[in-house]
Amino acid sequence: MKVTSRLWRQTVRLSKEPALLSSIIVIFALLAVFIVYPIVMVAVRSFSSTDAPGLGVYSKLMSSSYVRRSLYNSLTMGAASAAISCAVGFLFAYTVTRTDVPLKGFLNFMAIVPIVSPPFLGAVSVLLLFGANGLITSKLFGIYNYPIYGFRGLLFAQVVTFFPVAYLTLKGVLESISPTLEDAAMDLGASRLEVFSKVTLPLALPGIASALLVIFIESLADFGNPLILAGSDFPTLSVQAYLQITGMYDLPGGAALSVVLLIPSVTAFVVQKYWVDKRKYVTVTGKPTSTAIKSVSKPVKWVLFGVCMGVVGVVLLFYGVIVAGSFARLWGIDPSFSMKNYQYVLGVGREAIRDTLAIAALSTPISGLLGMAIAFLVVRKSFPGKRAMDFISMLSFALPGTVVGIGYILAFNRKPFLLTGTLAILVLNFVFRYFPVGIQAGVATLRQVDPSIEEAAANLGADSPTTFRKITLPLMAPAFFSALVFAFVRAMTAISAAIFLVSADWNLMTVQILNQVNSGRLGAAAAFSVILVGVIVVAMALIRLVVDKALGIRYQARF
Amino acid sequence: MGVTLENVTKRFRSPDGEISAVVAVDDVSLEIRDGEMVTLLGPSGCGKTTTLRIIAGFEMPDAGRVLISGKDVTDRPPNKRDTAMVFQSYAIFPHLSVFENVAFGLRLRKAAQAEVDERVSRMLDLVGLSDMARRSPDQLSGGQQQRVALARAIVNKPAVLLFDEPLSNLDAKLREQMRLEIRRIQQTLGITSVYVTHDQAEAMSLSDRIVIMNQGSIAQAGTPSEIYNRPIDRFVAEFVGRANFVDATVVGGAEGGMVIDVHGRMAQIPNTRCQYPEGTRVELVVRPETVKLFRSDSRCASPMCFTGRVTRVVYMGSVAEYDIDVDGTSLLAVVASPAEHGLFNVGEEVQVGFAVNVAHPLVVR
Repeated sequence: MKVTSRLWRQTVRLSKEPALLSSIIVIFALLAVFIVYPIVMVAVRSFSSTDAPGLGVYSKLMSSSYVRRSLYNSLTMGAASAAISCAVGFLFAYTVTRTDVPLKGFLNFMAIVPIVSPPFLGAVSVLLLFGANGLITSKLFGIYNYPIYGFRGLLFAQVVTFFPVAYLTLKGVLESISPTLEDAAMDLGASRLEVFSKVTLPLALPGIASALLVIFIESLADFGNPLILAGSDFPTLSVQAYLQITGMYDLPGGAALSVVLLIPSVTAFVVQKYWVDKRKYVTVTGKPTSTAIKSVSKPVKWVLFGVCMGVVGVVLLFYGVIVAGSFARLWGIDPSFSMKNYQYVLGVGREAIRDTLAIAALSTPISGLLGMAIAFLVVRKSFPGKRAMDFISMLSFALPGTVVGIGYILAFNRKPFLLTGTLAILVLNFVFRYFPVGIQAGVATLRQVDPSIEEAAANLGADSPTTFRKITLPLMAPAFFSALVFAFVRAMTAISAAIFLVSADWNLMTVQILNQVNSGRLGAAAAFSVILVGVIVVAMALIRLVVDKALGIRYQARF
Repeated sequence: MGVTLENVTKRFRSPDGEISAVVAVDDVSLEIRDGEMVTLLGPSGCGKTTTLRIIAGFEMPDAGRVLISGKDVTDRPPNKRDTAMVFQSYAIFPHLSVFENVAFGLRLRKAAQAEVDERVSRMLDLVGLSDMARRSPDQLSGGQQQRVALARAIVNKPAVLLFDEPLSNLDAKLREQMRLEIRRIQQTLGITSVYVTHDQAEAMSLSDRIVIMNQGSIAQAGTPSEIYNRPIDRFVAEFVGRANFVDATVVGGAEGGMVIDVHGRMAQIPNTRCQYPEGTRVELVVRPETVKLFRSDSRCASPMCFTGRVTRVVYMGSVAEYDIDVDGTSLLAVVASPAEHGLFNVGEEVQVGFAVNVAHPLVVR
C-alpha cells in the first residue's frame, strides 16, 4: 500500500515536470530504435538463411574450419593485444604518476597522440616499415618478403593503437591511489618493491582488469588493422563478417558471424561493468595529498624512463613514416620529395573530406549533449527504467562496429526507417556509437559535484531543464569538452560500422584511405591520413574555444 | 504563510530498491506559524534533515501531506514551492559571481535588470558583502560563502526559509556571530523559518520554538525554556543540556503542590509543574548548575542536602565540574566562577544540595 502510493507519487511528480518526463521518454525511444532494434535485426536475420534456416546457420558456420579459426584468432589476438597494451600502458602511467623523470609532459603527449589518429594508421605504418618495400625490412636488412601479414604485424599495429587507452585508464587509477598509503607502508617498514607489490599493485588491480577487458573488446572490434594486415592466412571475425556480406552477398551468414563476434564482446563488457568496476578502490578523498615522488630508486627510474622513451621512439617512427610516406614520390622505390600524393588526394578526395567534416560536425554536438543529458539523468534523477537506460547506452560501446554496421543496413533499409544511403544514417550511427564515453566522463564529473548545488537551483525556482542548462552543463564543461573531442575524433576516424553505410553521395575519408591501401597506393593513403590528423587537431582547438566561450566562467547568467 | 506537516512518513530505499525497515520520518505532524523560527533538533539520523527536505520538496513523503501557506504542495517539485534553502555545504554556484549567485532566482523570474540590481545590492548590504559583488565564489571565506547562500535564499522573499545545518562548517567564533546575524535578519524580515541543527546551543539561542526529534518522531516541541526546564522524558532531558536523575516517590498532596520523598527527605513540588497520584515513582531531572556544593564544616544552605565525596574535578575557567559520590550514586555539579568559591579537591567530603522546586519530575515507566 505504501509502495503503490510511493510509485504513484513518483509518477505524479514526473508528470508535473513535463520537460523531464518527455526527455526520458524520447531518450528511451532513441535508444530502442538506434541501439536495440539494429542488434535484434542482426540476430533475426541470422536465422533466415535460405539453405540453413533457424539455428542451422550456426552449425553450418561452426563446421567450417575457417570460421573456427577466425574465432580462435580473434580471441587470441584480443587477449595478446590486451595484455601487451596494458603492460606498456601501465609502465607509462606508473612512470608519469610515480617518478620524477624529465620530459613528463612530452611522454604524456606522445602516449595520447595515437588516440587522435585513425585506428588503422598503425597498419599503414607497419606496411611502410615492414612491408614489401618497407623501410626497415628491405632498406635496413634487405629482406624483401618478410612475413609481416598475420599475427605479428597485426599485434604490433594494435598495441601501438590501443596502449594509449590503457595508459589513460591506468593513469587515472594510479592518480586515485593516495600516495599517503604508500608513505604509510614504507613507514611501517616495507621496501620500495614491497610497497609496489603489496600496496600499489593490489590497489590498481581492478583498474588493470578493467583496462584489459576494454582493450579486449576494442581488439575484437578492430576492423581496419586486420583488413589491411591479417591476410587470408589470419582470418578474424570482424573482417570475415564484412567479406561474407560484401564479397559473397551472404547476409544471413554475415549476420550470424556478427552474433558470434558479439558474444565475447558483450560478455567482457558485462564483466567489466558489473563485476570489475564495483571492485575499484577509492583512496583519495577530499583533501589533495602531496605526491611522494620517491616510489622508485634512481636506477629503476632511469630504466623506466628508457623503456618509455623506447615506446615513444616507436610512436614517433610510426607517425614519422606516415609523414615521410606522404611526401615520397614512390615509397621504397623513389624517396624524392613530391607533393603529388597531396595533389592526387585533394583531387579525388575533396568530396570525401567535405562529407566527413559535415558528418562529424553534425554528430559531435548531438552526441556530446545526449551523453551529458543521460549522465545527468542517471546520476541525479530517479525514474522507472533508469538502470536499463544506463545499460543500453553503455552497451553500444561494447558492440563491435561490424555488428552495428550490419544491423543498421538491416534495420534502416525500409519504411518506417528508410535511411540507407543518406547523411542521416551516418550521423545517427556516429551519435549512438560514440556517446558512451561522454556519458562516462559526465557521470564521473557529476559524482564529484555536490548535488546540493543543483538542489539550490531547483529550490530557487529553476525547473529541471533550466537547472541542467544553467548549472549542471557549465559544471560539466570539462567532461563535455572531452565528450565532444572524443565524438569528433571517432566520427573522423571511424571505419568499421561506417564502411557498410557509406554511399556514392556520402563518403568518408577513412573509407577512401582504406581503398587507397587496398589498391596499393600507400603514399596516397599516407597523405590522406596526414590531412585527416591535421583536421582533427584544428578541430580540437576549435571545440575548446567554443566550449570555453559558451560554458566557461561568465559573470552574467543569461536566461 | 505557515507550514503544516500532516502525518508525514518517509522510508528510505536501499540501492537495490528494497524498502528499508528503518523509518526516516515516522508520522510527523507539526504546525509552524507565520513568522516563527522553529528549530528541528536531534541526534544524527533522527529524521530532522529528511523532514526539512520534505518541506523543500527534495524528498517525497510515502504518506502524509505538506501544506505551505495553507496550500497542499506534497506533489509539487522544489522549483514550484515558495521555499528557499540555505545548504550545509552552501551550494554556491562556482561558475557564477557573488552578484549572479544572489540574482539567480530573480533572473529565473525574469525580473527587470533595474529590479535585480536594486534588490541584489540591498541583500548584499544586509549580509555585509557589498564590496564582494563581482568576486568569484572561490575567493570567499567560508563565512562569506555562508552569507552569499543566505542572501541568495532571502532575496526571493520566500514564504519559508529553510536552514540545513548552515553553520556546521564554520569555526566556533564565526558560528556564534552568524547565529546572531541569522536571527537578526530573520526577525527583521519576519520570514517563517525552519532550522535544522544538532547543536543545542544554536537551537536555544535562535528559536522561537524547538522541536526535538528522535528516531523519526517528534519527542517534544516547545519554547527553549519549556524544553530545558520541563523535558518530557529522559531523552529530551539528556539531549538538551546535561542532567542528573534522582529517584523519588510521591507520598502525598499538599496545598498547591505534591510532597515527594527523596531518599528519606521530604520536599514539595508546585502543582504548576505537574501532579501525580500518591505512590508514583518519579525521577527528578536535576540540572548540574542547580546543584550546590558546600564545605563539610559549613552550613548547607539548601533544603535538600546530602553528604558526598568528590571523585572528579574538571576546571574549565568560567566553571568547574565535579562528580560527587552520594551513597554510591554519582551526581554532576557545575559550579560557576570557581575562583570566587575556591576549588574542591578529589577525595574531599562535601555537602551537596539542590533546589527541588526547579527539578522536573519524570514518571518512571
